[in-house]
Amino acid sequence: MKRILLVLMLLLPAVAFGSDLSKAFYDGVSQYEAGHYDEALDSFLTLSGQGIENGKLAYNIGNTFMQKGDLGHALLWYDRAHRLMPKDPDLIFNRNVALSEVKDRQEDLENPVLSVLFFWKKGLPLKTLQWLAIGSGGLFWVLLALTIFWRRPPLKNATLLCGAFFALFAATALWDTAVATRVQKGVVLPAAVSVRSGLSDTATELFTLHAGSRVIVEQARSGWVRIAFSEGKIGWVKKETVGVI
Amino acid sequence: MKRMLSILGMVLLCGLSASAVCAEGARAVVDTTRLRLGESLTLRVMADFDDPRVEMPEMANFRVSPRGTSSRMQIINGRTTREVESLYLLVPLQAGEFVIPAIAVMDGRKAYHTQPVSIRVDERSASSSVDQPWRVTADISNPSPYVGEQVVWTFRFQTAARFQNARLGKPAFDGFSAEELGEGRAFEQVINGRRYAIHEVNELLIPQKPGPLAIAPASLSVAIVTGRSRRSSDPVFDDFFGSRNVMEQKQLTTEGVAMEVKPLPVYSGDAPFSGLVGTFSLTASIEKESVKAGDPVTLTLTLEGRGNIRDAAAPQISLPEGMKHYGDTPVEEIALGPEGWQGKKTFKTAIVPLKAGTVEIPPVTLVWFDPSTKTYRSQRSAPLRVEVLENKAAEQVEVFQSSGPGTTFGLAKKEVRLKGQDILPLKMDADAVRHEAPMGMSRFLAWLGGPLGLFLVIAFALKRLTRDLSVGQKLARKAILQVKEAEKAVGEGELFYAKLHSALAAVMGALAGRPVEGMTGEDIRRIVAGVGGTAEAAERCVAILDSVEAARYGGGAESEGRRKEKVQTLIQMMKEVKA
Repeated sequence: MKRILLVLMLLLPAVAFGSDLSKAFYDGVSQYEAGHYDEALDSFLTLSGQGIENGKLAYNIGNTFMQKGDLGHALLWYDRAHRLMPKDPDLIFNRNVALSEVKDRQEDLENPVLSVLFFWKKGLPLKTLQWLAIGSGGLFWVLLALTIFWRRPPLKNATLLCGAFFALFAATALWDTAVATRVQKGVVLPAAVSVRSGLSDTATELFTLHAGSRVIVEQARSGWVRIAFSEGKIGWVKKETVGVI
Repeated sequence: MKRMLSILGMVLLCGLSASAVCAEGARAVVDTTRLRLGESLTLRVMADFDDPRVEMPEMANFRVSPRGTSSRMQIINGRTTREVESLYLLVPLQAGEFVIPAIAVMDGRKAYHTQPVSIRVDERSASSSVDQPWRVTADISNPSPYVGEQVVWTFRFQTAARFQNARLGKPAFDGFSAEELGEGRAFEQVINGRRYAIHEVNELLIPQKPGPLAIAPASLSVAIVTGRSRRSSDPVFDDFFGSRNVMEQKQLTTEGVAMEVKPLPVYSGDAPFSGLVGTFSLTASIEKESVKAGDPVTLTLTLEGRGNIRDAAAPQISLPEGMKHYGDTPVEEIALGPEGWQGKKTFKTAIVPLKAGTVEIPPVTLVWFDPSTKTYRSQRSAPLRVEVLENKAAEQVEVFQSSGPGTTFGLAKKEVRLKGQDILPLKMDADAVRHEAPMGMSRFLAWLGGPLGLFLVIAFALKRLTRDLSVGQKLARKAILQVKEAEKAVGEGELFYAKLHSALAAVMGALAGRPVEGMTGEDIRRIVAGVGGTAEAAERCVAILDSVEAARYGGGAESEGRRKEKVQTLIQMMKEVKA
C-alpha cells in the first residue's frame, strides 16, 4: 500500500505539469480565436520555451505570427513545423500562403548533379526516409539470418535485393540527417535587411533580402552571421535578423 | 625713289597674299536668312582645301543636325581647285534675331573662320515675306477628352512644291494607347488661289490617366525641289542627258499639343459600370423559346458601338436557380474607322435548364459613359422566356452517368479557382504539447544498428554453442544424418551400400568418441564392447559390414526388406548409444 502511495506521489507532479501545459495551450487557442494575437503568442511561446518541440504547436505559432502580419517569424515557425510534420495538409496550405507573400525569388542552392541522382527522394521527407532505412535494415538482417541457416537460393536473392535497398536508404538517410544536423537553415525576419560585405553597419551593402527569404547560416561572429542566399550571393547580417529553423 | 619702290613692292606683296587667303579659305552660306518657327534652314560650310575639320560652335537658339559632306573639283585656266562642302540643318527653337557666329574650319593646325550670318526667326503665325510654299501642323480632335475616350491626332503636311524622301518622326504619345489610323491620305486643296498638295497622317489615341498630358512635336524630314539645273545650254545635249532637280533638305517640326484629360465622374448606379467609354447599344436574343430539360439553349448578347469596345467584358447575367451556364469565346467584328474603334462584340452563353417549367431570363444591363452627353448611360435588354419541357431521356442519361465515375459525358468540367487567400485555423489536438523532437543522428544510428547488433549476438551465440560440442557429440549428429540418408537410399543399390557404410562408420565413431576409418569386424566388436554393448549387437554390426563389403566387392545384392533391417539395426544402435 505504501509503495502504491509513493508511486502516486511521484506521478502527481507529472500530471499537474501536463495539465498546466494543456491549460496554457488552450488559453492560447481561445485568445487567438478572440483576436488577441499578442496574448495567444505569449501562451504558445511559453510552451515552446519549456523545450517542447511539436509540429502542431509550431504551426499554431506560425498562424499567430501570420495574423500579426509578421511574415518572417510566421515562415520561421512554419518551417520548424515542416521539419516535424512535413505531410500535414493544413501546414502545407498555410506555408504556401506565406511563401506567396515573400518578395524575393528563392534560388536553389542544391547541387544539380545530386538533385538528378537523388530525384526519387524529392517527395520523401527525412522522417520517412529514416524509417524506410530502419525497416529495410531490420528485414535485411532477418533474411540474412534465415539464409545462413536455410541455404535456399530464393532466400539468398531476396536477401541481396533487400540489402541493396537497405544500403541505398541508409546511406541517403544518414547523409540527409548529417546535413540537417550540420547545415543551419535560417529565415530573414525583418521586412527588409541589408546584406553587407563586413561585420559593421558601414560595410558595403551587397544586396537586400526581405522577410521570409530562406538562407543558409554559415558562420557566426561578434553578433553577426554570414549567410548564403544563393550561388554567389553571400554576406553578413546581424544575428537577430535571421531566425534559425 | 628707292624708298617709294620698296613701299610699292610691299603693298603688292600684301595684296597678293590677301587674295591667296580669299582663294584658299572657308565660307558659310545659308539658304535663307528669314524663316518661321517650325521651318529649318540649310547651312553650308565650304572649304577650299582637303580634309577640313569644321568646329561648329554652340548655338542655343538652334538645333543643329549634320547632313553629310560633299566635295567637287574645278579646273580653271589649268589650275585645279577643290571645294569641300559640309551641310548642316538648323531648326530654330524660338523666334527672334540671331547670329550664326564665325565657324572655325581647321586645315591641319591652321584655322580659317567664316563670316557671321544674321538670321531672323518669326512666329509660326507670322506672314512670311518669302512666302514659303510648305507648312506642317499637328492637331487633336478633342483637347479635353475623358479617360478612355478616343481622340484623333492629325499630322498635316501642306506643300505647293514638289518633294521627295519625306520621313515623319512621330512623337512618343506617352500616357496614351496609340494606334495608327490607316496609311494616311493625300489630296489637293486650293488655298488663297494657290493649289496645295496635302498629306495627312492620323493616329488614334486613348488617354490612360487623367490630368494634363502633352504630345511632343512631330518632325518631318523632307527634300524639297527648289529648282532645276541644266548641264549645258545646248538643248540637244540636254535632251539627251536630261536635267537635274535641285533639292533642298528640310526638317520641319510641328508645335506640341497640350491636352487636359478629365477623369470619369463618380458613378453611383445600381448596375455595375462596364468600363466602356463611347456610344454603345446592347441587344439580347435566345436561340429558341422551348427546350427540353438538360438540353442547352444559346443566349446571345450583342454589344455594338464606337469607343473602347475591344476592352468590353461579357455583361453579367444573373440566371435563376436550377440553370447552368457556360460562356463561349466572344466574337469580335471590330474595325478601326476614321473616328476610332467601332463594330460589335457578340457574347454567346450556353444555358442548360435542369428542371421543367417556364424560365424567365432577367434583363441584362449595360452601363457605359457617353462623353458627348457627359453622363453615364445604361441600357437593359428585354426579358426573355424559355419554356423548359420534361426530358425523360436526359434523366436516364444522368442515371447512367452517375453510375460510372470515369465517364465524361455531359458538360465540360471547370477548374476550381481560389477566390480568396487566407490561412487555415489553429490545431487544437491535445498532443500539441507533447515533445516530439525529430530523430537525430545518434537515435537514428541506434535504430539502424539495433537489428545488426541482434543479428551479431545470435550468430555469436550459435557459434559458441556449436564450438562446445565434443567430438563424440559431433560424430553422433553426423551418424544420425548418415543413417537418415541411408534410409532414404534403400531402393538404390550401390548408393545404399555406400551410405550404409558411411552411416556405420559414423555410428562406430560416435561410440568410440573418435573418427573411425578402414574398420574391420574386430574393430567393431572392440568398440561395441568398449561402450558396454552386447555381443549380439556387435555381431549385428559386423554383419552389416560384411553385407556392405559383399555387395560392393562381390556384387551380391539383398532384398529391400533386408536392407531396411540393416538400417533399423543402426537406428537401434544409435538409440542405445543415446540411452
